[in-house]
Amino acid sequence: MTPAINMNHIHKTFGSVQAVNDVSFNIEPGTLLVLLGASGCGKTTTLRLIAGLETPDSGEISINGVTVSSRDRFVQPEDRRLGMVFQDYALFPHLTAAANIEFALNGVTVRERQARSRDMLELVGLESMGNRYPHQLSGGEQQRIALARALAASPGVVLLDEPFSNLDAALRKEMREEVRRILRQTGMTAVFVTHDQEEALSLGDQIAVMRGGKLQQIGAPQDVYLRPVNREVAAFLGEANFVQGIASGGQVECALGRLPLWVPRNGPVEILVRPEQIKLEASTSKSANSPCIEHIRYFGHDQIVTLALPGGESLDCRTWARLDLKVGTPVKLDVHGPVIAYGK
Amino acid sequence: MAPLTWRGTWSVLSRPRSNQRYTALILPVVIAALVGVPLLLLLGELLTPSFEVWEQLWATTLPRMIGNTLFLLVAVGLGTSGIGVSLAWLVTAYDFPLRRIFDRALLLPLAVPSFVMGFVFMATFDYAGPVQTAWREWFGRDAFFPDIRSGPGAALVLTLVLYPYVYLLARAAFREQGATTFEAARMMGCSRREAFFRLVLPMARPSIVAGATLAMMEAMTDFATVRFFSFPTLSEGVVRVWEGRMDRAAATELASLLLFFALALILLERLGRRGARYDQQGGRGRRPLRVVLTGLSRWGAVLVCGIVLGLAFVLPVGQLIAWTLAEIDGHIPGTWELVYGQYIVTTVGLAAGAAIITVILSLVLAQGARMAQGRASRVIVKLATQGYAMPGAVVAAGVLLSLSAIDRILGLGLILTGSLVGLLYAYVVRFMAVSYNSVESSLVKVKPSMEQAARIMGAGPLKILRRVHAPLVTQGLAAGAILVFVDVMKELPATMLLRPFGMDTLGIWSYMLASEAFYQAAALPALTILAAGLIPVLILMRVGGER
Repeated sequence: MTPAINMNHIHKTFGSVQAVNDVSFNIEPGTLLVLLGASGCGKTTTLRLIAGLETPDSGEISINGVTVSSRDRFVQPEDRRLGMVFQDYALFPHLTAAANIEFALNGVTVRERQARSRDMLELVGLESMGNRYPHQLSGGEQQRIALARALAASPGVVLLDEPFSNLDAALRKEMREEVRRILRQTGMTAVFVTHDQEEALSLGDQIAVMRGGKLQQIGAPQDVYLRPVNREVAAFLGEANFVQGIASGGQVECALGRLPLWVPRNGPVEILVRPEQIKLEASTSKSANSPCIEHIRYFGHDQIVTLALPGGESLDCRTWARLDLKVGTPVKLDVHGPVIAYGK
Repeated sequence: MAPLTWRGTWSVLSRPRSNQRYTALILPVVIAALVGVPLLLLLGELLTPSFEVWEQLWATTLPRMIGNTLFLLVAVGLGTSGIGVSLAWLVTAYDFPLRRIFDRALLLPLAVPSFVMGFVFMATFDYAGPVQTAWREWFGRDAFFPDIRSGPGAALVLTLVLYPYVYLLARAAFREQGATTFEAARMMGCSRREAFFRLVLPMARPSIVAGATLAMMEAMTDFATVRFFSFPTLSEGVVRVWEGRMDRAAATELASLLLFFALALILLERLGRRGARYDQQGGRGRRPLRVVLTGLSRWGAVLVCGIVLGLAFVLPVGQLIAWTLAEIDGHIPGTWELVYGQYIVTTVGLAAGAAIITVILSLVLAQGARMAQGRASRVIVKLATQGYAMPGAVVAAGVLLSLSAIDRILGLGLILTGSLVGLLYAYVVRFMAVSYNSVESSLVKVKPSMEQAARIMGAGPLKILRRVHAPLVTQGLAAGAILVFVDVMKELPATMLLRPFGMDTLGIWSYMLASEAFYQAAALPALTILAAGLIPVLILMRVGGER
């Protein structure tokens, strides 16, 4: 199948800054790809390159099989048939919500345009707001209108540039669900830029992690979370413990005992253990060799328990909010599933 | 590479490459040079003084002019700050009858040109005027009455028309200060009074200084009022030397001294606002509860507002209307309408021409600066908008210097110098900042992401211009044009010095009649200017009023 988007060795510099450095990936049709990374990692530039708002220094981009950027071809953004939701929404303040949506519809009759805009308003659940001006809408409503506008012309791909960054936390969760539902419902291919790993993991079909202009890893959320390609990606995607160990083949020997490895290795390594991978049990027998609770951060729905391991390392574990664990108590621990190891 | 069909001219859309940045700046640089050259030439004049001229000036009237100018600046600065701040705090922090009306109406004096206020005051309070006549009837022939034809008299008149600058900015600052700061101070044991002097006032200082500086700039540019009041200042001196002796060299030297004063004032403003960026975070929208005044103070507040508004607006408007009615009553039909019509055509033509040119230039300047960004474009914009701080006489002298230089270089005799070009040029220099500010602020409303959004939705440059830029920017362009239009109508010194022979505006006509004490005849043109001046003030009242 032709990929919806194909990025082929894309480079882009601004002055002396390598914003995008040799990035290549494919997006399958109907997929929601999240570009994830810290600020300045090149994710927004990548999105703008797809949009045609930036010209790549070298490399090729094609959208649905059509080359839009290459050495000798550059398709203007207005000719790429894309939809885009901007960070500040970029709604036109002098047009009503409905007129904003209709703006996207070119070359159709007025009647069709109005019908389509009504459909879009319905899709985002704002049927009654069509006559409002952007300043009369709440942040979440503006967000929905921006999405409706981006989807109105049935574009080949929708691009979303940190669309939730202006919303408060509660609204952000709600909008995340809503956007996911709408994108699923329309079967649209989408590229979504964010720096929020939780947002990325819960929203994306595929996650592309970027760092310093380079694509670090691309894969399903479970994949990048449990099997990150390096320490940096591991740390960026969530809370991470790194424990020293010696690997031999499919197993590693460390302060947590003998654990299975996802990928066989040999020699001294560092393994990644996510806090929720560890099961804790208050230990009855107190031996000098058992880990001890050093510190507890209580959050209500769960808690992070910091252990002092016998070798001097410390380890964060996530448990449910039970009360039987106290600072100073010795514990027994058990690690779920295989782990991933990085060479030193 | 990529086919750059219209990408080059539309470089706002992508981060401009460096060569595009420089091409974007070409037109702004030309405009800045156009505006900057007159001022720079005059600055050159200041640095190369001609000693004989100065000697002669010094021996005669110069010390007095300098002294008077300083007196006027200080008096108007203090006067407008005092009145403006007090009234702004009164309507912000207290509640009393008619407060909502006064809150807006106190801006009205902004519409009264200072020379009009000057001759109305002359007629009303001079020895032969109704007030002093009545005074003598009540208290006897020798009853004391302060001489209105004096420095303090002139300062009073200018203060009354210029205090709204301080009032407007101080009121905005007080409103923005939000309740929390004030309430925190009260919690820490400050009385309302202490909170005002220790907190509210220092926080509003940058705005107050800005307002007072604007008022002082206006006071410095005035030559007509001080002339009515026999209180010659430097501006008055430039005009007097120019017309009377036709001594351009001496007038230019004097103007360069005036330029020095203007620059000093700008510098003082910088110092006065130094280190002051008191951005309010949060607490906005909610202001301290108004104290409801009771008893005597309740009516005292009404009285204070009433007196200021009465003197500064009701009196001049009422008097002008009375004079106009009397004049219309007694005039010979047929002749006078014609003359009035001619003046209106001339004035409106000049003002409209200047407004259109200035707005177009500001649009080019703003768009260029926006595309290029960076420090260079900020400097260029600064240079191009310096005229607002310069007295009209300074701008006129500078324009004259540069035009006669061009005439000399092109060997044209005095073609440009004596023509309409000079006058329009001076208006553009002087009022560029006024239109630039409103044009620029409307352009800011079109965020780059909106242009990008429009493009991604398939809109070409024409559609973007028609459906995104035009509707968002027109209002700002119109506002800029109106402001320049009205300012040109009110402008006196530059018009006085640069108008082509035989061409008079409403303002000049009114001033000439008033200076011969034909007040009744001067009233109609004055009233016309005042009415035009009301347009921006009414807009301001609507925008700045309380929600």
